[in-house]
Amino acid sequence: MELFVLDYLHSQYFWTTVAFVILLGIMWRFVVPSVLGVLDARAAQIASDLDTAERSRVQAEGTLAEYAAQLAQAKKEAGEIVSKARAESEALANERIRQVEAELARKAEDARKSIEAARDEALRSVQKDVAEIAVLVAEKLLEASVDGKVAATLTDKALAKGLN
Amino acid sequence: MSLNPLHQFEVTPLHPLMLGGLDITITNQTLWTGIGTAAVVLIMLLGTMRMAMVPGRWQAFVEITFEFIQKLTEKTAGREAMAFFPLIITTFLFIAALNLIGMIPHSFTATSQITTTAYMGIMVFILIVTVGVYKQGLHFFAMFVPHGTPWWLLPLMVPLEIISFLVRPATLAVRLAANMVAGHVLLKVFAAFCIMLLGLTLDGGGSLNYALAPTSVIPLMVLVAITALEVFVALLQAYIFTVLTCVYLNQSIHGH
Repeated sequence: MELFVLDYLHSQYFWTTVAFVILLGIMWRFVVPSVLGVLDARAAQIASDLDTAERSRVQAEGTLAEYAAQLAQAKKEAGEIVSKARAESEALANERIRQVEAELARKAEDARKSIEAARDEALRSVQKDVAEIAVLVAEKLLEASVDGKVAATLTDKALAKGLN
Repeated sequence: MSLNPLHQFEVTPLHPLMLGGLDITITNQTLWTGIGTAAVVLIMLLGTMRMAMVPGRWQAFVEITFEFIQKLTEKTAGREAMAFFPLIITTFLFIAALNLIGMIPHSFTATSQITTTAYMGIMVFILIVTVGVYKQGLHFFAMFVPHGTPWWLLPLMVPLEIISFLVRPATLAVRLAANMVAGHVLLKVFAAFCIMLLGLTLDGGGSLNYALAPTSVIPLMVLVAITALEVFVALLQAYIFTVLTCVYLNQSIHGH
C-alpha cells in the first residue's frame, strides 16, 4: 500500500514546515505589504482624481456662469450704446434740421427785408421823380417859380391824398 | 513503471539526511513540495518586484489572486480576520501550488499524502483553537452547547458537537488528500486503459491490437477531459480548504 506510508513522517513535517514558513515569511514581509500598498495608493489616487474632477467641474460651471453673466452684461451694454448712439444721432439730426430751418428762416427774412428795402427805395425814387415832375408841371402851370421846398410839401400832401 | 494506479503515490527517498537526531531524508515528496513552493515564491516576487500604479500582467495576476483571497477572508471571517490574511493567502497558495504541480507528468502530488494534508489540517486546528481561546476565553467552548437545545438533549448534543469539532483537522486533511488521490488514480486508470486497448504494455512491449486500437480514442478523450477537470479540482480544493479555514476562524473570532 503506497498511501498512508508514515516512514518519512519526520522528514515530511520538517520540510513542509520549512517550505510553508519560507512562503509565509515572503508573503508576510514582502508580497502582502507591497500589494496592499499599491492597492491603497491606487484607491487614494482614484479618490483624489475623482475629487479633482469634481472640483474642475464645479470650477468650469462657475466659469461658464461668469461668462454667461458677462455676455448678458455685454449685450445689455451694447444695446445701451446702440440706443444712446441712436438718440444722439437723432438729436444731432434734429439740431441740424433746426439749424438749417433757422438759417432758411433767417435767409428768408433777409430776402424779405432786402425786397422791402428795394421797394421802399423804388417808391422813394418814384416819389422824388413824381415830385420833380409835379414841380415842373406846377411851374409850367403857374408859370411862376415856386420854392422847391414848398413844392415838395405840396406834392407830399397831394400824394397823401391821392395815394391813400 | 507499472499499471498499478497507486504506484504514483509512493514516497521514495532521494537523499538521506540527518539533522541532530531528526531524520530529514529528502524524498520525492520533499522535492516537489520545494518545487511547488519555489514556483509560488517566484511568481509572487516577480509580480511584486516593480509595483506600478498601472499594473503589468504579472502584477495584475498577483493582485487578482490577492483580492480574491482578501474578499473571501473579509466576507467569510470578517474584517478582524484580516490580521490573519498573510497566513490565509499562504495556505491557499501553498495548497494550490502543491495540487497544480502534481498535474505535471512524472511529478509528485504532495497533497495526495495524508502527511502533508494532515499537517495543514492540524495547523489550521491549532490556529482556530488558539484564536478562539484568545478572543473569547473559555466562552469559546460554549459552541459545544448549541443555542435552543432542550436540556434533555444536551447529553447527546454536546458529545456530537465535540466530536464534530475535533474531526475538523481530519476532515480537512482527508477531503484534500482523497480528492487528489482519486483524481490522479482516475487519470492513471484511463491512461492505462488507452495503452491496454492498443494491445501494448507500459514498457513498450506487446504488439498493436488492430481490432481494438481505434477504440482507445474514447478513453483518450475522457483522459483529456479529466485532466482539465483535475486542474479545476486542484484549484477548487485549495479554495475549499481556505474557505473552511475562514469559516472556522470566523467562529473563533466572533463566536456564534
